[in-house]
Amino acid sequence: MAGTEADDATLAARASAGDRRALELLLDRHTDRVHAVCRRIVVDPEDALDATQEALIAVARGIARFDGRAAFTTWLHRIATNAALDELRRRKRRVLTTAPRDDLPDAGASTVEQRVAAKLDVDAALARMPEEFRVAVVLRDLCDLDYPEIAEVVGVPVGTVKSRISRGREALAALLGNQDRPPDVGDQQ
Amino acid sequence: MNEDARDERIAEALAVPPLDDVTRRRLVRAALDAVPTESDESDEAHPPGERRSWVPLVAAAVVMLLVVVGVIALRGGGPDSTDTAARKNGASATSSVGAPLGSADAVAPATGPEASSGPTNGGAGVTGLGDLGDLSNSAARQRARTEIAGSPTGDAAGVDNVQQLLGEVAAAPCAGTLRSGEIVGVGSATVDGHPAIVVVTSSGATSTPHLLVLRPCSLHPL
Repeated sequence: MAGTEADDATLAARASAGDRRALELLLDRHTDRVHAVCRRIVVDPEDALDATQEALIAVARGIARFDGRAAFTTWLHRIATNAALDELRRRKRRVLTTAPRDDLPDAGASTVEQRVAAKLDVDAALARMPEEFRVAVVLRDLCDLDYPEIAEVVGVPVGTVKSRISRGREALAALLGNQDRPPDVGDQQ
Repeated sequence: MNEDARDERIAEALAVPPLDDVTRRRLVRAALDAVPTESDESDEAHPPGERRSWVPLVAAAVVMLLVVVGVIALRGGGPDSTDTAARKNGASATSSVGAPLGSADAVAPATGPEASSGPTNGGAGVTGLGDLGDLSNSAARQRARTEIAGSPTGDAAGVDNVQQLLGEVAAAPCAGTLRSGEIVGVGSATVDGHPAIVVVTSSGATSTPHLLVLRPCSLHPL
């Protein structure tokens, strides 16, 4: 990853200086990463694509202001997260109706088929999670950012990040069918 | 499990399959298109409307420049135009004076502005000596020579008819000997009641006054 970051830094510096080819390479390299963040935060696939597009545009337009003090991926994740949250705010109603409560998998489902179905229905589980928990878990477990990086991206203290990740994991595990971790998604710090 | 570590089980559940190439390229292309290129920025700095707005300004500036130049040329018409005309007449006089008397160049009178210009240019470089009066006797001729020597430019009244005098000199059948030199001055006179022309020719550094009696035609040293 260090090598990739070095390459990212080089490309980012060139792109920042106006090298459109470097910018194109940078965007192409990280489009899937940006999309994954948006997909898991926004949940709705179409909205996630819109958020991905907005994030890439924001990167392209803001690359000249990227000063390299933070890792490029940290900066990128911040942009992707903000784009996803903006998309959520624009289309909150649609996101909330993506997974109606009656369709959610039952954490206490007993059959193997039900548990498999519950694990596959990640979208429904994520849709039920509070937004801040979802963001924290996505950035930690999907994007593999460490706590300080997540704190920088989200703009909250590291302690808050830890709390959100812990509680988000519990909720997600419960929603995905882990009966050892009862869901408490309604509780917020 | 260490709570600070990544939860691989959740990571696996959250994993998102990569986008297809078409979608990824479309997203990247759209993002690149959203960024203005250097030429676009240049266009933005000078949008078409703004560029067009310079056209009338430039045109107005050109017109103003032409007007100013024209006014300067007209207001400077005194000395400048005189000098210009003098130069033109000088060239004409050179041609006229340099040409043999009786030739078309020498005979052709100046017309238009050249004919009515200042005292020294009416004869195309030939000095108008004015009316030198009755030169029938030697005393009068001596006085005339003195006047010519002391007043080489002549008077304004005599200048107006320099061209006419030059024409008469050129037409005079007895003026052949004047053709050896360049005419540098002409003036009207009379001899015993007959019309005459005082003609000053130049040959090298010396000027020689002549008295050309027109009728009957005869040429004499002044």
